[in-house]
Parts: sequence; structure tokens; C-alpha cells
Amino acid sequence: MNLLEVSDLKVYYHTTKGVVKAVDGVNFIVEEGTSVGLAGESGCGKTTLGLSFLKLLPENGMIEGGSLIFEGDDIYSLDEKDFRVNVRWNQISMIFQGAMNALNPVFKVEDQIAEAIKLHSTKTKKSERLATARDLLKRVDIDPTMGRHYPHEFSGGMRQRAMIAMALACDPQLVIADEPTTALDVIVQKQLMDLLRRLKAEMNLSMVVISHDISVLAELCDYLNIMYAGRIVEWGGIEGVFENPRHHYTHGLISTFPTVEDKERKSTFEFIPGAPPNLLDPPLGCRFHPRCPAATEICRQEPTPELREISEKHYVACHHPRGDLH
Amino acid sequence: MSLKRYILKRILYSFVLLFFALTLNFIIFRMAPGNPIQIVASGMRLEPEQVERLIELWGLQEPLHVQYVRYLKSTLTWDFGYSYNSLEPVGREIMERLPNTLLLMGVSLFFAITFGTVFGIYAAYKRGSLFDLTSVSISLFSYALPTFWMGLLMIYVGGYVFGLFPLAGTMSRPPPLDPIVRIFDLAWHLFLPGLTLFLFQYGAWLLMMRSTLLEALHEDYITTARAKGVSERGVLFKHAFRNAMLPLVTNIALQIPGLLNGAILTETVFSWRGLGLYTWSAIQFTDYPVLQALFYIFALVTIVCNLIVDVVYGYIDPRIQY
Ligand SMILES: Nc1ncnc2c1ncn2[C@@H]1O[C@H](COP(=O)(O)OP(=O)(O)OP(=O)(O)O)[C@@H](O)[C@H]1O
Ligand SMILES: [Mg+2]
Repeated sequence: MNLLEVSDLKVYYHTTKGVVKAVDGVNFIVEEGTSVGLAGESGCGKTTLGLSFLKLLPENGMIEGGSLIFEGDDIYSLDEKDFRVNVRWNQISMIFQGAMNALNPVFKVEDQIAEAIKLHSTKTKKSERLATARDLLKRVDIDPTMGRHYPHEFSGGMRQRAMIAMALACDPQLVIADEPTTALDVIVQKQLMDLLRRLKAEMNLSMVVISHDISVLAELCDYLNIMYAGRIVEWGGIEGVFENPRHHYTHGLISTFPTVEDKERKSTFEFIPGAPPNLLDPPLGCRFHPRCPAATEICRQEPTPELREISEKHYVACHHPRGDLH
Repeated sequence: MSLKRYILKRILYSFVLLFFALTLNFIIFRMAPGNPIQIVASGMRLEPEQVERLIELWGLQEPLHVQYVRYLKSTLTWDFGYSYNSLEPVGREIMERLPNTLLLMGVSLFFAITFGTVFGIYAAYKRGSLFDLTSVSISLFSYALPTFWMGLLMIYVGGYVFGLFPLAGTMSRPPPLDPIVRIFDLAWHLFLPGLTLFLFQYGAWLLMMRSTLLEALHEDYITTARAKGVSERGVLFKHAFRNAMLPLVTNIALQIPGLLNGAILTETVFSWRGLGLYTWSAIQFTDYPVLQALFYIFALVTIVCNLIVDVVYGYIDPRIQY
């Protein structure tokens, strides 16, 4: 069953320079118990898409169209209060990009975790909530007595762990992790990824993992979505997308990331030529066409190609998808 | 390091600062143009022998370092000598006036902080609304008006045109005997200068509260709080306010010297018998002992306020490096 199903979602930012179409007609599915990766270059709209699942957009960001079905309910039709009380953190929680400032500097870590519990199970006692908070810290390998300390006394990796503990506080059905390991050193990254993988297995978590680093996603995810300029251009099972990328952008993206063997052989890896498009005024037709090696006349014309199933559970939005393994 | 050691360190630091202020205060008055003896002598037409006698009495014939040590000793024991003008002990004159100034400053500061922060928070909560727009405009306006002008306007409108409030003074003459009537009389006199000094500060508090809150609202931890399901009100009053409070507390200390400035002007305009008016008249008479004592007290007040803020900060900001 689909836990989350987003159809034709449009999220625009209204700025003095015009309308930034950060998410422009996105379809997105999370099956129960799976983890779904979302990859793409910086600025392609990943965070915006993640935030829109919780309706947490900045003031100038508007959901202009589309629907979000969560466990069979159309949660965008809920009123503000219902959404806040029932959906946020209770059903969907989020681990934020750059945990440095994601915790409030003036409150103790355990109190911040306990607050999340209090907001959604008001009848619990304070002592119970704190006990749960400490249990959660233990679960993410933090000494529970550290809970009495403030975020600035934690290292970057610990803060991110505390954030993960907080995200699990209300037993959500879905956890969104936006760049959970970015800006941390490699060893800490590895530890965090192991932790997420372990939690996923132990708790049968469903996750959406956002990252511009697809090697992170390769390790954590069952499915992979590739986003380009506000649209999903390819999605499918992780192996299928990795081993047989059908969209030319996906191919470029994967080649820009050296595998371990590449690093050992010190071989050069490819770059995608050209710059990411301006979302104020994206190219007509396929948004990738100015950078695409296979672009033809049809690619430059509207409408933008839609996702179509090219093999089982593997979708691509391209007029000239790459052939099977060469 | 513990909080206790941090506080001890701050206290020590304040003493060092006070010492520097004292020294500066000594140097300034030795370097000031004009000889105090001449000032007094010309006013009273003293004979040369009498001048000699005065020099000896005030110890001005002694070398500077001896004078300096004596100055330190007498200042620290609250012995500021005699006013050139009234010939009364300066320490006593200051103690007579201090309560009036504290009353005027305290009451206006209290209301300015209370109203400024409450309306500032509300303006931030309703940002972009008509309420926000009007309170920001009013604040900017009242903040920009010169104090003495505002004071004169108050006297003209409240005292002269409507005749609701006294034109000047701290109390009626003769002062009422009944203590309750006395308090009301004082409050009646306090109203206009208090309001003037209130308006002098209110706008700054409102604007600062509003902008620090709005700034805090853009922090990542606010998005986290919203994601957790904290209500808009909780986001503002709990998560943003606790962080916005920190610069607010610092500002109390930074505002005190400015407030003293405002008080000098306000007291002068309203003939409010406090340290501000005293400063003004001492300047008129080149009354060195009085000015030296007042400068010392202003420095002392500033240093003590900073110390208090440092200590409070130690309690409310967990990130403070002890
Ligand atoms: N508040 C905002 N107002 C206007 N434009 C915005 C706003 N927030 C984001 N954008 C723009 O929307 C687009 C998508 O931003 P988003 O943060 O979702 O990208 P991202 O894929 O998460 O990038 P990154 O990998 O750098 O985190 C970008 O072009 C960005 O400049
Ligand atoms: Mg992002």
C-alpha cells in the first residue's frame, strides 16, 4: 500500500523578481516500509518538496496545486489546526538539513524531545516524557544523561543524532531526512548512515531521504527519485536506476560521483556540461534539453515530457531515453 | 568554570573598570580649563590671604599623586567635598536628589519596557498588519523627537492649555503634610516628565523587540518547532521569545547611559529636583566638586548595571562561556 502519494504538486515562491517554480508538477510515492531517495543538483527543489509534505514552507512559498494522500486521507484538505496536531511529527516528522541550528540553543536537549511528545500526547506526565526522551537518546547511541545538556555542548554528529531521536519521539509513520549527513565529516557520516539503516530495520520505518550525494542514497534507499529543475525526471528501484539510468541527466549525475574503485584508480569522472536552469524562467519543453547530449527538436517544444513506465517499476520522463546497457 | 566563578570574575572586572573611571574622572578635572580657586575667588571677592587659605584647605598645593590618593579615599567614602555654589556637602545634596531621579527613571523605564516589549511582540505576531504599521510609525516618530522639545510640548498642552498638571517642580509648595496626599502630589508632578521620558524610550524598545523577534523567527530551530506541531503562538512566545530576550537584556545595560542623558534634559525642562537638574545647574556654575561627584555616580550606575546584566545573562543564556 502507498503510505504517501503526491500528485501533480506545484509549489511556487513569490519573489520581487517573479515566481520561482521550485516544485512544478511532481508525482511522488512512498510505499509503506520502504525508504525513498530524492537526489538532484543544488537548488532543484528537493528541500521545498520535503517541506511541503509538512506544509512548512517559508512565508512566500505557496502550494499552488496538487494533492497529498497520506494513508488514504487527503491531508491537504485538513484545516491548519488538525494538520498541526495530527500530521506534524505525529504522522510525518523531519530531520533537517544542517542540524547545527535545528535545535533551539536555549532549551535542554531532553526538554526539546519531551516537548514533541507533549504536543501529541498531552495526557502523559512530565516525568514519563523525560524518561521516553532519555530512552530515545539511548536508542541513537547518546548517553541519556547528556539530555540535560544544551545543544551547544553537543558535537555536530551528536546534534544530528539528537535530531533523529526527536524525529522518532512520536512514532511517526514517515520520517523525512533532508541532507542528514551533509556538512559532517566522513566518519561521522558513516556512523549516522549505519544508525539510520539500523533504525529503519528495527522499527520498520518509512523514510524519504533527500541528498545531493547519491552515494548516501545508494546505501540507504530502496527507491530513487531524480529531480531536475522542479520536476522528477526518473524514478525506480535503486539498482535499476543506478545500473541502468534511462534519463541522460541521471546518467550524468551518477557518473559525476566517483565510486570507490574510481577513487582508487584515480580515473577522471564526467561532469554534466552547462549550469542548472533558472527556475524563474525554466526552459520550454524538457528542462534538461540545453544540457542534453541527445536533445532533438521535440525536446525543445512544449509540453514537458511526462513520466512513463519504461520497464517494471522504472519511470522516466524523456523523449529519447538511453537504451539498455551498452 | 562554574557560574559562581564567572560572577566573581565579573565583579572583579567591574572593580577594575571603576578604578579606571575614577582615575579618568580625576584627570579630566585637573585638565579642565580654569582654576577652581579663581572661580570661587572671583565670585566672592576674596583677599589673597583667603585664597592662600583655600588652597591649603583643599590641599591644592600638594603634589598630584598625593591629591590623587586623597581623592580616591574620599570618593570611595562618599565624601565629595562642598559645593562651590551652595557651600553644602555634595554627598548630602546628592542623596537628597537621588530618590527623585531613581523614581523618574525607574517608573519611565518600567513602563517603556513593559509596553515596548508587549506591543513589540504583538506587532511581530501580526507583522504586516495595520497594528504593526501604526505602532512602528508611532515608535519611529516618538523615538526621533528631541526630549526637550517633547517636554516643552507636554508642559504647554498638559500644564498650560488644559491646566491638568503642574508646570514645574517635584512637589507642591509647601509640601502636603498627610503622607497619602503627598504621594498623590508627587505622582501628579511626576506624570508629565515621566511621560516624556517614557516616550523617549518606548519606541526603541518596541522596535528592538519586534526586530529581534522577527530575526529569531527566521532561524532553523523555529522551523523545527513548527514541524513538531508547536502552535504559532508557542513558536513566538516560547521558542522565539526566549532567544530574543538575550539581546533585550543586554540592551537594558546599554540604554542606561542614554537614559541618564534623557533624564538630565527632562529634569531640566520640568525643574524636577533630581540629579539631572543638579548636573545642569552645576554646569552653569562650573561647580567642580558637584560635577566630579556626579560623573563618578553616573559611571558607577553604568558599571553596576552592566554587572547585573552580565550576571543575569549567565543565568539565561546557556551558551555563555564562563
Ligand atoms: N524562500 C524562498 N524564496 C524564493 N526562492 C526560494 C526560497 N527558498 C528556495 N528558493 C528557491 O527555490 C529553489 C529550490 O530551493 P530548494 O531549497 O528546495 O533546493 P534544494 O534542492 O533543496 O537545494 P540544496 O541542495 O542547495 O539544498 C531554488 O532555486 C531556490 O533558490
Ligand atoms: Mg535543500
